[in-house]
Amino acid sequence: MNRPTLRSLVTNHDTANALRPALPKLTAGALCSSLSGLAMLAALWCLIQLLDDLSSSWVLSAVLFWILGATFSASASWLAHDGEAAFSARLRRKVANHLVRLPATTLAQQSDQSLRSLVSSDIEKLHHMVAHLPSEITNFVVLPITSILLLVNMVGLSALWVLLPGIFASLYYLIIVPRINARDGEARMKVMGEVISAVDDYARGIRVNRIYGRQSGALAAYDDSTQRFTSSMVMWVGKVATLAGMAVALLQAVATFAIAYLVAYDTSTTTLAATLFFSLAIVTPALRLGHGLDYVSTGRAALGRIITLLQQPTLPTGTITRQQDTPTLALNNAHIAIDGAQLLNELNYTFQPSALHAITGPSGIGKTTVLRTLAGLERLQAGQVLLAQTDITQLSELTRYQSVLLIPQGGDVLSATVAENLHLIAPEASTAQLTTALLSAQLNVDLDAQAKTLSGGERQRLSIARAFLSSASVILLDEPTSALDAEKTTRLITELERLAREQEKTIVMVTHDKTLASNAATQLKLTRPTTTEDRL
Amino acid sequence: MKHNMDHVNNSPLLALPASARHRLLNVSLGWILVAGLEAFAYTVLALGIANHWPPLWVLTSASLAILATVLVNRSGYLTGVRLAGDLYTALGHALAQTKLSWFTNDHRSKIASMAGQGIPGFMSIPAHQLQSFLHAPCLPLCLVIGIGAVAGLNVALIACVLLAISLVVQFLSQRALKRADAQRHTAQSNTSAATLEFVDHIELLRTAAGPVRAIERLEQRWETQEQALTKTNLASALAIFISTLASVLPMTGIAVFMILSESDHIPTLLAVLVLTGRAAAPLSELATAGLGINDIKASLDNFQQVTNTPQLAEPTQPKAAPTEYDIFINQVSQTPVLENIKATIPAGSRVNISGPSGSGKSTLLELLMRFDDPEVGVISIGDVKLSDMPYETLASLIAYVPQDPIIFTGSLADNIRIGDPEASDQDIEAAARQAALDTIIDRSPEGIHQSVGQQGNALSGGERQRVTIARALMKKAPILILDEATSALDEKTEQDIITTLNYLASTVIFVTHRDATPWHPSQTIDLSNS
Repeated sequence: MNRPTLRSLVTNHDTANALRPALPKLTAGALCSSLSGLAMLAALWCLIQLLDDLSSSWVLSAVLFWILGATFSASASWLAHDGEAAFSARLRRKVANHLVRLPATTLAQQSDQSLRSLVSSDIEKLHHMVAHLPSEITNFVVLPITSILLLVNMVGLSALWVLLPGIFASLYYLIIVPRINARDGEARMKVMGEVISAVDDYARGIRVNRIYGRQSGALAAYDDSTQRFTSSMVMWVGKVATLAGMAVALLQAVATFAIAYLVAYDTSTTTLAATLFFSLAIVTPALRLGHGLDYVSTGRAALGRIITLLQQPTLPTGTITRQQDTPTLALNNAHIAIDGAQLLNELNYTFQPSALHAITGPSGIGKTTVLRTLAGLERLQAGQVLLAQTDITQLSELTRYQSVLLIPQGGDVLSATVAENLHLIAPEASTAQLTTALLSAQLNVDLDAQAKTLSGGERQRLSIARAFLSSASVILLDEPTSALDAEKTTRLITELERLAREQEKTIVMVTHDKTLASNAATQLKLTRPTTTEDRL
Repeated sequence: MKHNMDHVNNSPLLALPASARHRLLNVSLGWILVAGLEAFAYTVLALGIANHWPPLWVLTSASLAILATVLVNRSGYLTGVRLAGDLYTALGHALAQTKLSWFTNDHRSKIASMAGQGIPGFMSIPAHQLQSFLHAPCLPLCLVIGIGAVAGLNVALIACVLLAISLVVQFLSQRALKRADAQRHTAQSNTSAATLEFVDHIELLRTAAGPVRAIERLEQRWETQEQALTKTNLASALAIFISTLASVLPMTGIAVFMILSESDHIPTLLAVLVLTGRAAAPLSELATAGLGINDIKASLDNFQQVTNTPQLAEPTQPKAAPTEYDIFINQVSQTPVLENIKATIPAGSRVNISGPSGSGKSTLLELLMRFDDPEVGVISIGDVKLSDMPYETLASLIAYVPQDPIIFTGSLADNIRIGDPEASDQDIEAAARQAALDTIIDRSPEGIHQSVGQQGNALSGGERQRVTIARALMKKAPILILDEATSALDEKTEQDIITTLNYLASTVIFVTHRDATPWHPSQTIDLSNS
């Protein structure tokens, strides 16, 4: 999917889905745009009739057509933009819904920056392509054909000569410009890049240069590089400047009108008028070409990135919606691998309900990955995670979320109040319930406080409070006590154990605290995989 | 024209170097000429239509106009490139005179953005903006004269009024359109901001709120923006409606007028319609260009800011280089950090400049090297004030190792040889080994001729510091200034280098954030209370 074409927009399942509801408006927009052009042509036709028959009704008709043209043009703009808005709204939701269902490692593979641009600027980059390209293409076809038909009909085949300047200019923009860009674009960028880094180097080194008495030498070297810039750029630009100048000149009506006069000066005034007025048939759309088709390639690249993301497989889910009574959680012949490299030995382990269990192991071994796997947020290479004998990939995604709660490490909070942060997990919870949960998590803060103003340790406990609000029967905590002092740790662990016991929950925490781990009901110790070489 | 320019003293155009202004002036005249020739060609065409001329003159005048357009366009493109070259040169020369204290990180990033975006942006001025600003208004003006020549003064006046109204209305509706576009952009970036919050907290959202509700919060913000966008789209559709009608107003008006005035010479009516149509065509471009003028002005202002920088005057009656190297700091103050500093630094002494961060240690060192002149007080070496010495003389007395090491792309030897351009390879290797660069020299068969990478990026932070120390040692200047020059070195390497420095006969003035005892300072200038 490295080189997507415009067709991908309609052939790719996901983008086509997003595009479908917008299609009527986009099509109507392109149609209105063409109708606007046709109405403008009709107005010109009325002016030509006026020359035949000096009656104010022709002026009136022309005015009516112009108003019609303006109306169509305004409608075209509204339809195209509104249709595009509907398209990007759907695509945006599609992308967000996809992201939320990707395995954690797939998410982690996207660099933060690329993920951010993928969901924001990449979707914006499609705007021009979706909103304006359809009408530009139809205009480029419909208007010239209509004008040419009118020309041939009113003047005859000889009138076709007037199209020459517009055709030449269009060929320049459609064929020569892309070729030049393909051939010289990179070299020109390089020359540009060199002078920019020359300026940067020079400003950066200026103190050293002066104090070491090299200022004049550095300035001479700098002048050399600016001269190299000028002469190389003059060479590149010089190669194309005449052709570009000719294209621009041919697009001025002067050239077309001169030919029109040559063709039709000896005919009737009406014929001459028709030749002159319709002669710009190709020039007008070609002028728009001159403004560039860069947005097409930008849009295509953005589209490719979006499609690639949407093609990343999501987490497997099933259809079982029944919640289990005894939440025994088990790893069954589980192979955990990242990028095909096996992370751990095959895992077989059972976490019984009504107890607090620990997972330990050296840093970097994959404790967090195991916890995410247990939560169903990571794919297994082989084996299963079983919740009360049911493979969790068979559960519907909502059931899985309602059955297993993962509290990640780091204590991330939204930029909102403490209460809003807690409402993420329990939208219906009362103030009393929220306060109780906070107290169980050893946190005493105002529910209206801004979560971002809390300290790292407080944010961590705010996250843990979710454990006391959730209805999930399995709760997985990643390093829940890393920022807590010994006293708070003890009290928190007591609360968690009580929660497990009283509500028959299975609680598993990853920890590097040895005392904590040895006090847990059971302890899963992760070790490096034994490879064939090790055994030899 | 030159005369005129001198009058408008505030014009940001004056920020441009004279060569660039001349180039722009030439292209400007070119565009006015093109407008004139084009209007002439249309007028000849109109006269031809009205008087049924054979096409010879029409073709000739049209060819002239086309030829001029090609030539001016071509020279516009090339002038754009040369203009950029001029501006790069002017930037470099302006910076060459700028006082060194000006080169803060902030200013350096301004220079970088001027080099990367500002100046390349100017390249399109001669071929595009000048065309919009000169050709677009001149063509209708000249064509009004043409209309007068074809159909008389009255018709010309009417056309003039109609064109003016059309321009004003188009300007207003284009302005509304631009505002609508800006609002569209705001709505889009608000939408993106909401999406980015989602991305940044995706793990929290999907674990805490689950796959379905994770999107909910985002959904609300999206909907608000999408509603705003709908309004904006309506506003821009209205602007397009008005602007389209305004663009055909002149032709309609003229047609109505000609009918009402019962002129029955049909070819003249056609001729006037053609001229009016052509006069109305560039108006929308002109209206758009009028809206863009502020952007150009802002770019010119930015260029003025980075080229019109503070300088330090070279002495008009320079004194000879001092023969004694005692440094006298006499009642020196520099806001906001230094106040009334007084010290004498005898030649050959070891001076520790101490104080908490922000107390002006680097500022004092910079004043000693005349990166700036102190606001109050005098610094002199021997019996010569710094401001009485040509900068080259002062520079010859001082070797300097800055806080953040500047390495140039090239070899290790190139970087060290900056200290003494005459130095032999043996001298350079000796200086490098003195600066504890042995491991680097020995790790490559190329020794001191190995490359240091782009701006030294093949070296570690500590290695870069040692290269700049070797460069300073190579200079053998009577005064050596080190601003946290060993901050990235381990203690053992630092100690080796301090030992080397302690053998030097030069005055050594240093700032360190570590313990200064190993340096055996003979004197400490404490800035804690300044």
